[in-house]
Amino acid sequence: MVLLLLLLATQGATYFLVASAAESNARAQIEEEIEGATRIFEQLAGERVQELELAVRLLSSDFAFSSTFAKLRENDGPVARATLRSALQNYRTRIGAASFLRLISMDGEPVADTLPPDMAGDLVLDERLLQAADDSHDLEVTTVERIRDTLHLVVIRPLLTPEPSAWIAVGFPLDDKLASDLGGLSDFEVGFVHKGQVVASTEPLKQAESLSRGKPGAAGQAGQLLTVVIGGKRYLGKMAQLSADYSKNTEVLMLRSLEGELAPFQRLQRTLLVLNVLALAASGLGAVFVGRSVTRPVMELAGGVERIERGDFRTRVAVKSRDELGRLASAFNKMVLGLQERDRVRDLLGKVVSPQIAHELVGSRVEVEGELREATILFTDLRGFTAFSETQSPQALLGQLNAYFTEVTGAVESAGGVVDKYIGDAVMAIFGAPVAVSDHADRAVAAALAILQAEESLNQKRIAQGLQPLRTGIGISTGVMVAGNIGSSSRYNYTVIGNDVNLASRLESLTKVTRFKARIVCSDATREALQRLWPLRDLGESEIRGKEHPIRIWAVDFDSSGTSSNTEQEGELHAYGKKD
Amino acid sequence: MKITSSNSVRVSSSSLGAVVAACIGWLSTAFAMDLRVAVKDQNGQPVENAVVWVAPSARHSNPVGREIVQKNRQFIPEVTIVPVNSTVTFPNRDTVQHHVYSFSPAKTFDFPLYIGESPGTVKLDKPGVVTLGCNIHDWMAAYIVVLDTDFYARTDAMGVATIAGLPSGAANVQVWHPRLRGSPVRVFVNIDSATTATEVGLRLRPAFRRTPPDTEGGIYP
Repeated sequence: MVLLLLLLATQGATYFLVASAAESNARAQIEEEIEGATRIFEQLAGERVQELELAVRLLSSDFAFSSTFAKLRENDGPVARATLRSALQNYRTRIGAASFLRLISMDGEPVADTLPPDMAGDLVLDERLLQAADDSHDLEVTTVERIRDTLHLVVIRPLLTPEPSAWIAVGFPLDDKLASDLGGLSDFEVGFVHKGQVVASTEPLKQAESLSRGKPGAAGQAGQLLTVVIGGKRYLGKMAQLSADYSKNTEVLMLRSLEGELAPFQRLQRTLLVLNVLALAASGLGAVFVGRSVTRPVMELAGGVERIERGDFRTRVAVKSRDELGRLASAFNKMVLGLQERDRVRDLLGKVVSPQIAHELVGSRVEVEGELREATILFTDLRGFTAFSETQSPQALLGQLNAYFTEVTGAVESAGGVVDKYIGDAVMAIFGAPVAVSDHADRAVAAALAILQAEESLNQKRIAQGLQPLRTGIGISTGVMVAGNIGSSSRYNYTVIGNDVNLASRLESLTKVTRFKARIVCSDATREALQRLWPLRDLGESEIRGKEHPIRIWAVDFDSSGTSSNTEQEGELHAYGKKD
Repeated sequence: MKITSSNSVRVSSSSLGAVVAACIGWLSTAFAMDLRVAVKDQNGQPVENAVVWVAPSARHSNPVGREIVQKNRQFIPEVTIVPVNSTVTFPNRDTVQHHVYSFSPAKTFDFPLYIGESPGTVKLDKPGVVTLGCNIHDWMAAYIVVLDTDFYARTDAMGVATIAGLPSGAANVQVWHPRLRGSPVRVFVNIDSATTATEVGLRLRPAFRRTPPDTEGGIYP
C-alpha cells in the first residue's frame, strides 16, 4: 500500500513536471511566434500608414486643388468656401479610406472641413503639431486624434503651390474594419487601445472593452508579452506602438488565442495523462504480484511455525522457488525434520538425552517392540543420603542433588551410556541398549570410574563450601535382558527389564559391606564381558538376595590419583582380570 | 478669418516720393552710408541667397526684362530680383513640355504645356515674392522678388549682404529667403555711421523638396 502511494506520488510528480515543461515549452514557442508575428503586424500597420500618407502626398501637390485654393485666396466668400469644401469631399471620395479632410491656414485656422459642423468642433489640432510638421524634412506629421468614440490616424501635410500655403489634415478611422483587416492578414485579434480602453477591435476583443475599461494601463506595457483572459479564454500577445509620430496614448493590442496555440500540447498532455495512468496501473499490479510472491510464502512459513508450536511435526512447507524464500522454506523443512527426530527420541526414551546420543539412537535401527539384548546395567546410590537429606532444606537438597546428578549423567553419557532413570538419590544407566555395542561392559566400568572421579572433584568444592562430602556406591551387572518400550498406550518409556537389572542394584548394596572395601562392585558376568584391562579385585562368592546360588563378585578399585591407567599394576590387573 | 499667403509680401510704395526727390541734391552727402546685414538661421548658421532690401525708397531702377529658363527640369536661376514693372519670360530649353504657373498674390499666371520660347511675357506690376511652379514637375520651384526699391543685396556664402549708399536715419530693413516661413522679416535699423552692421535671424524650413531624378526615366534610363 505504501509502495503504491509512493508510486502514485512519483508518477504524479513526473506527470506534472513533464506537463508543465510541455506547457512552458509551448508558451516559449508561442512567444517566439508572436515576436515574429508582431514584427509582421507592425510592418503591415506601418505600410497601412504609409499608404495613407501617400494619398495625402498626392493631394498635397495637386494642381487643381491648389488653383481652387488660390481662387479662394483671391476672392474669399461663401461660394469659394463651399467650392473648397466640395473639392475636399471630392478628394475624400478619391482616397476612399479617409474619414475626413480639413484644410488649415498656415496660421492654424480651419479653412474648410468635410466633418459636419457639429463634429468639427470636436477635432482641435494642436498648433504644435503644425509646427512639428513644418520642422520635419518632409513637412509631414502623423498623429492619432479621438473624435467622440472613434480614433483617427491623422496625416498632416502642407498644400504646396509649390510653396507651403496651407495645411491639409486627412483622417483615417482606426475602426473595427481596420482591426479586422489587420487581424485577418496577421492572424491576430487586433484592438486599438486608447488610454487603456479598447476603442475598436476584432469581434472576440469586443468583450475586452468592458474588461479593461476603468482600468487604464491594465493591459500592460508596450513591447511586453502579456496574457489576458477575455470571455474565459486566455490570449497571449503584445501591445505595439502605432507608427504615428504622435500616438497620443494609443496602442495596438495584438492577441492570439492561447487555447488554440496550446491545443497540440494539450493533446500531448492528455496522452501523457493516459500513459501515466496506465503505468500506474501496471506498477500497481506489479506491486501486488511482488507483494504476493513474498507475502504468501512468508505467511505459509508462519503457519508452519504455528503448527509446529502445536506439536505437529509432520508439517512441511512447499519449496517453490530457488530464491531466499525458497532457501528459507528448505531450511525450515530441515529444522522440522530435526525437531521431529528429537521428538521421536524423546518418545522412545522418555528422557532428555544428549544430541550426539539422540543422533546415534535415531540413526541406528532401534527395536522398540522389545528384544533380548546383552547389556550392562550400572546402578549408583549415595551413602547416607537419607540422614543427609534430613539436615537440608528441600531447595538446598534439590540443588545439591541436581549438581550431583549432572556429574553422574555427564560421566555416563561420556562413556556412551544412557541414563534410564533417577530413583531418589539413585541412578540407573544402561550400556548396550538401545544401541547395541560390543564393549558395553568396558563402557560401564569406565563410566563408574568417571563417576567417582567426578564425585572427587565435586567433594572438594563441597568441602570448600563447608558441606559434607558425598560417597557413592556403584553396582554393575551384565546379562541378557528384555529391552523395549514399556508403559501404557498413552505414555511409555524405553527401558530394560531382567534379573541382571535387579542384580546391579543388589551389587551396589554390597559396597556397604565394610570388609570388601569396594566402591564399585561388578558381577562375574561383567568381568567376563570386559575386553580391556581394569583394576579388578576378586571378592569371592557372595550370597545375593533373590539368587538361588551365591555368585562370584569383583571389586573395581578406584584410586583417586591414578585409576586404571597405572602401568605398575598392569600385571596384577591382568591377573585379576580375564585370565582368572 | 484672414487668408495669408506665406510667401507674398506687400511692399508699400512711398507717397513721399516727390518730396524725397526734391531733397536729393541737398542730401547728396548723406547717401554715402553702408548697411552690412549678417543673416543667420535658427541654428546660428550663415544663410546664403537671402535677399535683403530697404523699402520703401524713392530710388529705384528702371524696369528690366529677365528670363527664367527651364533647363534639365529646373528653373534657372532659382531666385531673381527685379524692380516693379519689370517683365519676365520663361523659355523652355528642355525636351519635355512644362506648365509654368504662379498662385502668388503678387502675380498669378498660368502657361500650360509648352516647349521652346515663352508663350508670353509676365509684367510684374506689384512688389512681392512670386513663386513659380511647374504642374508637371513637383520639385521645380523658382522665386521672383519684385522690389520697389533700389537698395537691395543678396547674401554671400558667409551670409552677409551689404547695401551701399543709404541715407542716414531709420531704415525699414526686410529679409527674405526661399525657405523662410511666412512673410519677410522686418527690422528697423538706425543708419548713423559709414558702415552700420546688423544681424538678422531667420527661421527656415528644412530643405523639403525632393531632388529631381537624374534622368527622365527614373531608375530605367
